[in-house]
Amino acid sequence: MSRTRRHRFSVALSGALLAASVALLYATPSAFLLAIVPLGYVVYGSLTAYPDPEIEIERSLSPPAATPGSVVSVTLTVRNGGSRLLADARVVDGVPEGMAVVDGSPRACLSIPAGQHRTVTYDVMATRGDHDFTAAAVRVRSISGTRLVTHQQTASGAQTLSCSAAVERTPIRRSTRSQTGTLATDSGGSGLEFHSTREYRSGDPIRRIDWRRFARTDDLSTIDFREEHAARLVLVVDARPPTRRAANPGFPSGAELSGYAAERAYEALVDAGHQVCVTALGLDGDDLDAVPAVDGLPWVESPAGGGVDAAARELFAAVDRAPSRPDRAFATDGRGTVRTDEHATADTADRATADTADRATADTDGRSMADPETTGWRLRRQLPADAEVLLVTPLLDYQPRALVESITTQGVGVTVLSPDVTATGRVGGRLAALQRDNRVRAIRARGTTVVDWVLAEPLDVALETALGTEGSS
Amino acid sequence: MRQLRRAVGVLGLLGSVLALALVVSPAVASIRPVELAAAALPTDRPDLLVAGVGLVVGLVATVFSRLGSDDPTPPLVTAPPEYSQSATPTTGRGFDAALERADSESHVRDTLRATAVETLVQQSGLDRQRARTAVREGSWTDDRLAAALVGTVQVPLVSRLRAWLDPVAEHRRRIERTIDAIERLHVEGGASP
Repeated sequence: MSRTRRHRFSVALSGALLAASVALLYATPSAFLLAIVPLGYVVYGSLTAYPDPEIEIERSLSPPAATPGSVVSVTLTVRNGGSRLLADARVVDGVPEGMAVVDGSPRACLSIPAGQHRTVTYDVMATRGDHDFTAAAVRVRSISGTRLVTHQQTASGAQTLSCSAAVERTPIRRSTRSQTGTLATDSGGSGLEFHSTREYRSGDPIRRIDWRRFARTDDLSTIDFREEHAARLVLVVDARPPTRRAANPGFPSGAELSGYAAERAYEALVDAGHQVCVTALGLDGDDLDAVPAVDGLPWVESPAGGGVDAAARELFAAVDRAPSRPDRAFATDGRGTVRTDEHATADTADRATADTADRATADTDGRSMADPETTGWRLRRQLPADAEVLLVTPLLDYQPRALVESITTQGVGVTVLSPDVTATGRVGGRLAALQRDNRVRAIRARGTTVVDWVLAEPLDVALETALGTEGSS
Repeated sequence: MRQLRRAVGVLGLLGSVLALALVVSPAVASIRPVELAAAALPTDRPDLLVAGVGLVVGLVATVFSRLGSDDPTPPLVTAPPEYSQSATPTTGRGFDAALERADSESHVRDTLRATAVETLVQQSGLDRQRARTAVREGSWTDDRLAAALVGTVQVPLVSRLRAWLDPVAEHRRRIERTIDAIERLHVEGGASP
């Protein structure tokens, strides 16, 4: 606790001295009267005592456990436990380092009567990890403002903001049916659940003919059932250096959100009994001890294929760690470090994204990923015959689009889940948003579902859409 | 600074003691240094003397308060708590950095042109060749400034005048206008898919 004095009334003091000296010089007692008023201020300023604040601060978080990309509301309750009014209390909360405040302010100027309390509320953007709050800085002034007491005060209540991929409920449970290993599609065919009826075409199985309708109208029609695909899903997480970008400083990066979304999808699908393989693009192979690398790609087999849950977790953890070192870029085919200069990466990434027509120049510039055709081909070689791909990528450069195109042309169904990490504040962010929108359109134009996950919305909604439409392509 | 303040304080204290001594016993005035000082000062014009001394003291006090950096109340926190000191780069930082550099004007222009073409292809459904032509000829937008930045249209006179007066601000304005124009295409494209 430190105590300081402030000389607020030095102007009044000099005024009083001037009036007094004039009075002495000219022997005019009336000038002394003039000095009384400023002197009163000086005396008032110097006679007030130091405040003796008895402040209790309690911090609460809502929700107490956050997920990456969600907004957490922090409420500070500042209580005056003393018996006197605190006329001017300034409180600045110790926001964890690396966290960004998105709404409200962690600082406040409060006036608190004895025994009462005031609240300060602000919102922070959650990023993955445990974030410790530091002590709040408190400064209390006396009413005259000439005596200040400053101290650091540790708040009671919540000390740490934990943000993990922990799931309270798996989103898919509501949307899936009792059978495991299958996913319902939106196309008609043979199956169990009614989908639609259509005109009879020769060769349709007899047991699918709508006989009641035939009896009624004399027309032959065929019932289509909802087709069920065997669900062998391959989760592809995009963690290449161009994705290691955040909307604003302190916000979660694209790779971090992709990893989180993929982990949630993985949990949901595994819980529902589906066979899920996991792989990631742009990871350093040295990092992954427990994850086998197949053909240059880290590859975790589905449980039926001998994959281990721990290996998948390690893969997600590696994706999570990747954004913390954006300077280290690795080619997925193990060619080693590609670029170490961050600015160059940013530049080439942007240039590469600028025009998908200029593939040739982009290829020579942005070698942060192996040629998407090759990666797609490698991926395709790993894919089980009946697989569907869920690609999780923030779509910050042109390569995911090329990858999707190369996979879909090989006849594999792809769904893209894309967290939006573009910002609208700066010119560069706006341009990035426009380019990303173009990419989304381009991928959709080829019949692939792109689920856009805007951070303001819960991931569950986006996941449900992505997993619900899986296999419709 | 602290020693200077102390020295000035001692000087003031000595002056006060001398003044008090003069009031109590006028004999002090006959001491040699005091007599010399009294002779040098215009004692016959007391109002002038007070005004002059007051002016000098006031000036010195003002200078001292300007020089004095020993603010007894430092800011409560050293860094603003609202902003993160995160090292993760932000999206579009490369473009933002290119805007600041003088030598990257053509790169910025190329990026914007490519984005405009791609937007016309994806959002408005033009084929690539027609989109390129539209951007080059400036028929893709009503904004002549945006059309001029990425195409071969002549820049409006007012804009040229602005560029002559403040080239940096005008360059920035043109880029923002171009992005506004592309954003309008996105809004229109989204409205009528």
